[in-house]
Amino acid sequence: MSGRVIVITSGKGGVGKTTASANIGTALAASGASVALVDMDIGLRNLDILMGLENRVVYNLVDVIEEKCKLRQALVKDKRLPNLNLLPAAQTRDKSAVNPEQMEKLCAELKQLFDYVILDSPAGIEGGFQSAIAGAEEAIVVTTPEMSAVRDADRVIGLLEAKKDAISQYRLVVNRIRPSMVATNDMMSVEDVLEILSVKLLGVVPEDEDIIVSTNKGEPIAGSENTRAGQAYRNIASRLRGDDVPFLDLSPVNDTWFNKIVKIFTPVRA
Amino acid sequence: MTKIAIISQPEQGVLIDIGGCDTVNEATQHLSSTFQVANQFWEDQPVDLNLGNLRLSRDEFAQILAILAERGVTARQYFATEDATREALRSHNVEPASHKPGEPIPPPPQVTVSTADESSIPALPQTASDAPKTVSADAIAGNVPDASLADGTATAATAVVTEATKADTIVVPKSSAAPAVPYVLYVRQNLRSGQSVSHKGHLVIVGDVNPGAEVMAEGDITIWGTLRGMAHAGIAGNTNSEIRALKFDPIQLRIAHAIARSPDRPRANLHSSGPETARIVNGTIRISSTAVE
Repeated sequence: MSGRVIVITSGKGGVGKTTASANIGTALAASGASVALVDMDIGLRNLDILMGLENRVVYNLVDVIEEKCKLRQALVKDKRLPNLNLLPAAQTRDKSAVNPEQMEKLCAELKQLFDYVILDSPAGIEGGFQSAIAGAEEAIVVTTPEMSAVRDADRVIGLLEAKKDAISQYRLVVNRIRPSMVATNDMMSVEDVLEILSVKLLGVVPEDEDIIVSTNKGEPIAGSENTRAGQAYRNIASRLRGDDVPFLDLSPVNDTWFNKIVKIFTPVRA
Repeated sequence: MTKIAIISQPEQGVLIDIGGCDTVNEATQHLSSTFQVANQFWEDQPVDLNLGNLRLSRDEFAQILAILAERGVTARQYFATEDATREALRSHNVEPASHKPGEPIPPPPQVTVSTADESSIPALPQTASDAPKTVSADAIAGNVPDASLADGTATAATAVVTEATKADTIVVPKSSAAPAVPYVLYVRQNLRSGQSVSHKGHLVIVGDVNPGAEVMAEGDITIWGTLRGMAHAGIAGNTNSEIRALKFDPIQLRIAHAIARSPDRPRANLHSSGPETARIVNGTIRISSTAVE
């Protein structure tokens, strides 16, 4: 078996790389594939918290690299999906603990074991990023519809293009879109972003308060049925698997008096 | 396992022992990570550095000096057994400590007292007064004395030569090891995410241990504050080690080879009230409120 190694990166911090990693990984695993999520953000690990697996971490990525434990010992099985595994980052070390050659070797090993290997890259374009993309064959670039995030995404895409022989394709996820603001021209639209970056679009994820709830609960939103962001991530996973799924209809919800009343009576999801 | 030992010597400052490391690289790594943690701890702290039988070149010693300088630490004394290392030290105008080869570290004043009355030695709970002695002998010397030489198995013809080299290279035979130094590291600060403290004896933290921080000790761990991160007592396998804290809210607890993790969903009715102690009962970790004895 030879799986696909996909790095999720953005350049800018805080645009939702880790959230995207957790959700894409969860959605892929929910559809039956075996998935390994690798947290590359050594020293600032978060992915285990988003997955709600923090208390199960015993060994980590750096222990594997330094051969203090076997790969199998370090992989943490997800609470809900048995075919979803997390390889957590080390918290008490820094990015220099891992180099690109070691990551290439590890990715080669991981893709023998899993259908999908999702690498959650750290922010920035320095050593940690270089290690994260070293073993990758595909990339997902996450951006938000803000000038600064788009600029950084552009820079990252440039760096990925320079590694063309290793990274066969890179696609874009536009995160935290607010349809109502796009409608009033207060926010860049997906089209605006695509015009600047001219890359293939993999998905659009709307801003959703449920993301914050799910992050704090340690349960990726892709696992809960009736959320728009969750649906968006499930669609992204389907597209990764090669299915042709239409993009979500993100036209703003009309704020008619009827809708306002409905909103008042809609219980807040816990 | 820790390869670096930090030994607080009462009234004498702190001895940092990197003699247990196999390579210079490892030593510098351990040293810098040690300083990264507990940074306030090192301020105004007189420090002695034992290089054990590490073989250092001039440049490698410069590296170690740089790590120390970064933290504003100037070691008062350096101990080294390897000739090449002593040479490297001298090239930096550092005279290796003029200690007798038989006693790599001048024993702290208390030690004489504690030998007289062994029960006063704060021994690791594992065994009686014997265990800390052996541990400290290894840790301090950084090398195990060559038994064959010490036993006098050398032939008569070479006996004189052996005698001479012995004086130069051999460190304390275990039997006459320096008596146990009080084996407690006292850290007075909050430990934040990413910081870790590892110690060969007992560990006392005055402050909180936050999520993402790690505290590890071969003996007990006592936290005068809230434990929210990871604590691992008895890292060398001592199942009698205990972890106690004013408030328990850990992500994980480890004692020797046992691991306990926090429940996935916080339970509202399980509020910790008052100080608690975690210890191994029937092979699993149990937390109970600390009884005042």
